[in-house]
Amino acid sequence: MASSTEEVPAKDEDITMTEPSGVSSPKELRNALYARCASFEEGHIFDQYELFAFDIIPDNSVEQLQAYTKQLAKDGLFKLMTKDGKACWKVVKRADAIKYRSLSQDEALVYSYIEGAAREGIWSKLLRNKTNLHMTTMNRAVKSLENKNMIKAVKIVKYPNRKTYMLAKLQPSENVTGGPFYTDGTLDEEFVHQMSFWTERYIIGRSWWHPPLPEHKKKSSSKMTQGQAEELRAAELRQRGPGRDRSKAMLPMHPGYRGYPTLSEVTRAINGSGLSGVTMKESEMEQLLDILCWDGRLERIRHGKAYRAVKQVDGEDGVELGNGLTESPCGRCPVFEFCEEGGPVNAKSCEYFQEWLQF
Amino acid sequence: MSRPAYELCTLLVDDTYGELTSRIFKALLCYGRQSLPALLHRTDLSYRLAKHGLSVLVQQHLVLWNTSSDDHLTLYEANTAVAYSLVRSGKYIKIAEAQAGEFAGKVLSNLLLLGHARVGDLVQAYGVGQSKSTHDGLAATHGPPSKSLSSMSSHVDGRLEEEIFTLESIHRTLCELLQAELVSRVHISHFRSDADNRIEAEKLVPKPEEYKAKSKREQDAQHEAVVQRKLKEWRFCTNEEEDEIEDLKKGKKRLHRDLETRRPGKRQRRYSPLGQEVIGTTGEDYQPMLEGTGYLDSNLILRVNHAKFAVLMRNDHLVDLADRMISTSTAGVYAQVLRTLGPKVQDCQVEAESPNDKDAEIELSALPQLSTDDLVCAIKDSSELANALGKLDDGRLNMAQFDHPKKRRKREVFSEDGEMVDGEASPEEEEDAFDSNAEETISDIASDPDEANGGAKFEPNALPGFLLDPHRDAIRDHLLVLAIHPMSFLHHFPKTPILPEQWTIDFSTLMKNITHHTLLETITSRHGLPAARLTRILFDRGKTDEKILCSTSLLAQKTMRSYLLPLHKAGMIGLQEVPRDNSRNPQRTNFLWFFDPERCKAKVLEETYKTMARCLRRARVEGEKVKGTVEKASRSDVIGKEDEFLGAQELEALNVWKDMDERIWGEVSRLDDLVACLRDF
Repeated sequence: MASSTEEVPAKDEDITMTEPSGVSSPKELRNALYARCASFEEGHIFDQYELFAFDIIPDNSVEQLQAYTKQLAKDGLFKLMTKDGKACWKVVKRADAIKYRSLSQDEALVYSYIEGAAREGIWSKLLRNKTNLHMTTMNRAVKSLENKNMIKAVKIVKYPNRKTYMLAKLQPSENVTGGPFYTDGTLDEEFVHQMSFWTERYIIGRSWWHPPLPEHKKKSSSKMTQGQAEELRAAELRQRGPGRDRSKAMLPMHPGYRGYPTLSEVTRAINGSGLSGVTMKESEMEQLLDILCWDGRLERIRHGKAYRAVKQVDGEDGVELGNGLTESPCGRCPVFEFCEEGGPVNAKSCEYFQEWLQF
Repeated sequence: MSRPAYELCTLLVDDTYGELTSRIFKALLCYGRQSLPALLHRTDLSYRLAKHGLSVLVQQHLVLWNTSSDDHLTLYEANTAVAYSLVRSGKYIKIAEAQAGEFAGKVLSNLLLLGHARVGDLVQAYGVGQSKSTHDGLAATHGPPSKSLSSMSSHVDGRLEEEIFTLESIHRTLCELLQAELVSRVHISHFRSDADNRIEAEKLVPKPEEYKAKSKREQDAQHEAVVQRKLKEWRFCTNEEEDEIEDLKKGKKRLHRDLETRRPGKRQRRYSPLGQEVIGTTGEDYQPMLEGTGYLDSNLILRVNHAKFAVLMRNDHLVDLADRMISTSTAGVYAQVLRTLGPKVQDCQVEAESPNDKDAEIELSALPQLSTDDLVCAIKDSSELANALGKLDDGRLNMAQFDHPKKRRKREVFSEDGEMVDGEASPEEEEDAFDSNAEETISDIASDPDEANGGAKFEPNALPGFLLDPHRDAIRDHLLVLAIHPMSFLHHFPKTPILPEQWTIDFSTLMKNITHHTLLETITSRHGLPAARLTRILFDRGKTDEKILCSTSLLAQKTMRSYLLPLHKAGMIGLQEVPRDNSRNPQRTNFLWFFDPERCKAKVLEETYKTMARCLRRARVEGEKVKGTVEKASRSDVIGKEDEFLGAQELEALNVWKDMDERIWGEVSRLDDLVACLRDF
């Protein structure tokens, strides 16, 4: 694809069209041609024969067509392109053309490339290579465009250090923003946490059997303090919600149980929950579920098709799943490597041991 | 084994058997296999002392020796495995008590102190016999064992005394221990190192050229197989007929039968030539049980069978894990599975029978199996089991997934829409398949001649007699829960037209999973949850670039780095540099993170050994502080009258020290659990 941006029109009157002229003046013909083409849907590509078919060009002369299109392209109303080696054109909106006209030559060049990159944005280095402009020239052009509020700098998640530009009116694509987990190019940890928390509770509720809790004694309910009442209410609300908390009393489901949530079920549930305004795709949800698996909070069963919560997780219910090594003073000793008999650090002088043995 | 491990072993030997032995043991560890003159040079001991120490160590199996038949030079070698297992003595005694009663624990503790012992001597030590034997004499040469034996016979309470001092009860206990394989016979190969054993075995079996095989490779393979068989025979004291050990195991049954029927003259079993090498048996004809008497042959020499103890410890560990991961009731069923499989599992480390055989299915079917009926018979009460599984709202269950694949395939052929019912179908497909196939399944079963019982909606595989057997169903459900767990606690062989439903445990896969789980548990509690997340990603995805790791883990780059670096520093994960071109410029290099479980395991093990050694050192330091008081308290005139002889301060110090000592040893025992999990299981 090659766009023609050789020269920016010097004269204004071609576009303003205030001057009346003869029946078949080139200007009128040009306008007629433009109007005809503009009536087509946006983005339609015209080739030479299509333009002849409009019966606007007198005698279907190739030279005249060439002259008109050249002028239109110069005015920024037509965009010259090539298809299979043949010339073809695209119509540019008049408003856009005016925008171009207010720009300097360099700016227009830079702008056209940034426009071409659309929602993906273009890296400044790539822009410089394509435009073949000098660094300072290009920077000046970019700065001026930014000042005019025509382009903006965006942060690409994959390459946060690259200066990337796109048109100010466009929303960056998901490739650029990194999907729902990123806000302004940085990871939204709180969002990830909230979503995974909800998901986990949802899956806990569906993958284990929670025996009903013993009823609270009615006697105590009359003498409850406000704090207790609120606590009880919060607990009840939690019970009624879509998910459950882990508890030691959870019992495994029957082996023939079919209700272990699958990826699509979880996605549907989280989108239906109204938890977030963002609609999660399955691929994004899978990423989240993967993270929960890697955290050791979920496990895949039924050949990886469904998810189940892990019954006991470190730190919950006040249970620390350690082993002999991690709970001993040596397992957490910062100078463990140097510790040896007769060395500067040894078992006799060890302070950590002293502390550990004290209680 | 590493330096910390050597230090640990030396400390353990020193604690148990004193300085002389530990000095020799340490020299053997540091300088490797040695002859006696070299050892004298290394240890600066007199000939008499060194001989004395070595004899103790050999008696305890702590030193292996071999006299070469070529130059008649005897070489000694430290046996670290047995030295390490000294730390487990307490656990062994507990297990023995659980398996064969309290008295068995006492017998075992004596056997542990003696290393190995003749049955006759063991019996005499309890005061039944009169004459002093050689082994008793040997035991008397180094304090603790003989002391404990004498104290054993003098300090038992009245109830036990009756039990202990009947000859029969000792024999019965030993028989039970033999049956449970907790003790085993001693073979000459048990005193030699693995390499020596192999050389000896190769001497005995025919040379590779003597096999009738086409190629050299096949000859070698056959030779290798024969050598391995020989080594295994020696190790487990079996012979070609393989029924000697069975005979021993049946000892007790025979004992009872013989006592009841008083039928003399049982069939004479001729012992194999192997009998000559089993130490303590001289004649060609050897019988472990003396005919008609119900007593073990007093010349039989026994030792503690460490391999079986490891199996039992592993069983406990597995049941504990099942309890934590699934539920207590399921763990109970699992414990029964392990108990039932027990006699078939001799050793934790199962060497692959044929390494070329890559077919997992074949290998699995070669493992010891048990059928559902075995378990149904073994578990008496299932009332609790039935309530220990999740109830369903709609009551619809998908039990077809546990059918034999052939049957499922047949069903698929019938279902013309081609929906898959087996495990590989996608979730949606599967859901649909069950809905639409529900009726089909039932009709299909009804048309099946060997399962004409139509009502088998939930249990299409049930035998006709067990159709409405809630007891059986409850047990089977729990077994299936174990089988579908990602840890693969159990492997399920569906019922086929010929074979009943079978279960087995694929220990190699299971232990791989558990080792992995243990390592990650360690990482989690040391470095935090995100570190475990990163490690699991590296394990799942293989070697990964930092950028991809960052986007996969959903961690900010800075956070991620703050976890990766400590992990790398601790040696849990590795970093590989892959230059993109020849310049080796860091900017033109890919840095890939990776997690190698084997490496990580070795690292954690080494740290654990070192930690144990540190703990033992610290226990000594604490002991030193109250040395005077402890010595005073252990004086023979003070024992029992501590309040009289010791001051309030001394008593207080003694109690504090006891608490600390207990705490440290408790920790050592916990550390040993970790070693057992990572190394022995």
